[in-house]
Amino acid sequence: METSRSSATRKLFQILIASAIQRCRLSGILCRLTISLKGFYDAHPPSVRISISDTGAGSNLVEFRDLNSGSVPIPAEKWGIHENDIHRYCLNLKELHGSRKRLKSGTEVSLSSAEEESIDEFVKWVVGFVQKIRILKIPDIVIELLVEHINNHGSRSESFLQEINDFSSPIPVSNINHLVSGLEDYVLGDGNGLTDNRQSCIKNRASLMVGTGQTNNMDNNRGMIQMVEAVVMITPMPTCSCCRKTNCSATQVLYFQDFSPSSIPQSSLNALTNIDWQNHLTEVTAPESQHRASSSSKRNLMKNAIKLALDDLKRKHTAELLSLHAQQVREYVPDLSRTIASLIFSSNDLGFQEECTALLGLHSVDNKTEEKAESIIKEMITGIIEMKDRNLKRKKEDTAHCLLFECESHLEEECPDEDYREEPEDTAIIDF
Amino acid sequence: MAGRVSPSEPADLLAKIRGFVRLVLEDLCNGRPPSVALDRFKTYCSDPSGNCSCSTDLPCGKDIVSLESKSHAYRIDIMLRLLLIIQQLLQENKHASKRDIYYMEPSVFQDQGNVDRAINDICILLECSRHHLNVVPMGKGLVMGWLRFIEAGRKVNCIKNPNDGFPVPICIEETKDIVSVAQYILVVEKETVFQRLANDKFCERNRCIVITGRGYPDAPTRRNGLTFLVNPVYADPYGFDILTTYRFGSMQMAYDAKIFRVPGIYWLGVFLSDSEKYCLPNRCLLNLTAKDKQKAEAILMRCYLHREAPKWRLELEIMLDKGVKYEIEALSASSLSFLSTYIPQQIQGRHYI
Ligand SMILES: [Zn+2]
Ligand SMILES: [Zn+2]
Repeated sequence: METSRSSATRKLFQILIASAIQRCRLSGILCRLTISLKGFYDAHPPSVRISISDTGAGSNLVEFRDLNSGSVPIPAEKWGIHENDIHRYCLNLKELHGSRKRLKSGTEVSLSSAEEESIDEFVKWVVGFVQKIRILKIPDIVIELLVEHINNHGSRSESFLQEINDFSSPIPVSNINHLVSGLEDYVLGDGNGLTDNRQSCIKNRASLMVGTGQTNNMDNNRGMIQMVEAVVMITPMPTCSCCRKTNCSATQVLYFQDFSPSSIPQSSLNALTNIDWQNHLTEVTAPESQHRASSSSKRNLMKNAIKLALDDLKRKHTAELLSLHAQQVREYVPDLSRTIASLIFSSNDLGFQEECTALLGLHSVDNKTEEKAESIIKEMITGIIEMKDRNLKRKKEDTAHCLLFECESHLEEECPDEDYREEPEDTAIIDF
Repeated sequence: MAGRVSPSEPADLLAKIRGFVRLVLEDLCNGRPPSVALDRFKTYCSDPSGNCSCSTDLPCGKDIVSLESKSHAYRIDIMLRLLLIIQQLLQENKHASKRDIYYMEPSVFQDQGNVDRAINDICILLECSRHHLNVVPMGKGLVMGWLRFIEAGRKVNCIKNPNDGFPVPICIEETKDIVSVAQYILVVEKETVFQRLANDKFCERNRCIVITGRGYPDAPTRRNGLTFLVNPVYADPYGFDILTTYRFGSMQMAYDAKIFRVPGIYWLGVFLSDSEKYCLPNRCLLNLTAKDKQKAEAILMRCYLHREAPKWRLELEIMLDKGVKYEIEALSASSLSFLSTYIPQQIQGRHYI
């Protein structure tokens, strides 16, 4: 997401989409969100006409007026925006009288902008933006994107309609599971039907590692529930040169607020992208908060949700998440275990065998087999390697975690497990 | 060497192996990875001052080998595998050569050098020599000349057929009653040279013993040569390296080096200067390859050359300077029996260093 260079058009676009999504969700029925872009390439200056329409619960002007005091620094005269670059702003409230009970309503907002330097860039950005919304797989919203390229010679249109079966799952699925499945599609470049500006050669869904975390708290004063859901997904490092060179070589962070793509503070972004994922490619951390919340409590919710997701990921994928060198060492475990077990059982000293099996906790006669001993030794060595690696990694993560939320002093205190830093024996592992 | 009382009976060693395994298990139960602390021995370093401790046979530090890295894990893996093999050899009173062991699992051992190093590690761990482990060298050496000995109750009388090569006895413990009236022992690197000398009836005409280790010298070759003046023949960096192995012991078997090396060995030739002296045709001089040069430069750094063999070092420097080498066979180009006259000449003229 181009957080760094966000034009007023893009900011406005984001806000309009967010409110359209809100209306659709409020309606409680299947809604359609249609985004239409018309690029006039040969106009002077080249301009783009944007239309966003939805069949969600009807809006009123007040909702849009709120935007004025919001984050978009556009002088607006009752939403007919007269700025040089953004003009012909038009709000169309379709509210059919008498049919309110059947919720036959809709909103259409359209604007023209000549602010964007390159129409193609803007279209690309919108496509990416819509791809991100689709990650959420919001139930009951079908998102349609129409793009028309118009020049003096004629016009060419593209249409991207979300596949119906994406959301019409017969079993009700929780938001976080929608998020996981949407993220998988996003990573695999599947089923989004969009011109793929982030093609991926990773095609194996089973190779994705996923951790999820959810936090919520009740705001007693206002009776609102704040909720943050986080998904961390790690994809295997692609081996093909095409993917390595291009866009999927690093951590990508997506943040949604109220079911709409939003930006995350740069410092948190840095912290997340700086976590050492070793050989793997982290795809996304996607926290999503249900309701607007005060920023500090939201930060804590986010922090905890991400931590839960990371813990979940580590629990489910301990072996895969070992550092490269621990993985290499672990390859020797089967051999080592077999040899140690053989050394015990090929000894002609029976007393020694007894002693060893006792040490391994093998007491009953049936259990005193070489295979049993081997598997116990294997478990022990594997456990030791994993534990050492975890301890080492935790040190690095603590640092990342402190950075995650701008490390206010009170957060610093929360940084867990100071004592992990004091294991001198572990330092040797660092410079392997 | 015969008659030396071994402090490491098989029973003692087996007990040490069990003790080690027990320790590994206890470590595992306490959440610690298997680890071995090994005294570090080396035959040389690159300290030119000569003030290092390489010549003292004392350990120069300790290696802690654990599961900290891939290479450590591999080293422990190989060590444990060899311990298992050795435990079996000792329990069944059998012997195996280093080569036999290598061929038990060549894909795991990858290289004979890895087996050799693991054997050295185990010698250090169990504080014994390699032959105590029932690991014998590859029986590849040949000997001929003025020598008689009893190997495993069988009399070997080399002097009766002084022009025939006999296998160098493998098991030191079973070799007794070595009798020799030789004036010197000649160690040649290559078997072809050994055969040449045999064909020339060298031992009939010179009262000596000729030994070949076929490539890098093996322990028994060196051990049998212990009490004699030995004169090998070399003229390239790799030959030079082999030469140093006879005199100073190999790094691979640094712990056992004190038993196997022959400090009194002389370098008889051939030297680079011989190529002029004997009018070697230029076509026989080969340019040193980049690898040769690298090897030579590395050898020049070795402390023992500074300390104990400056003349050897000088020869190597000259070789590196001129950038050429030649094969010992090149000298036979003019006359097949060249070596048969060259060697006695070098000895009489005291041209060895
Ligand atoms: Zn690719
Ligand atoms: Zn030294």
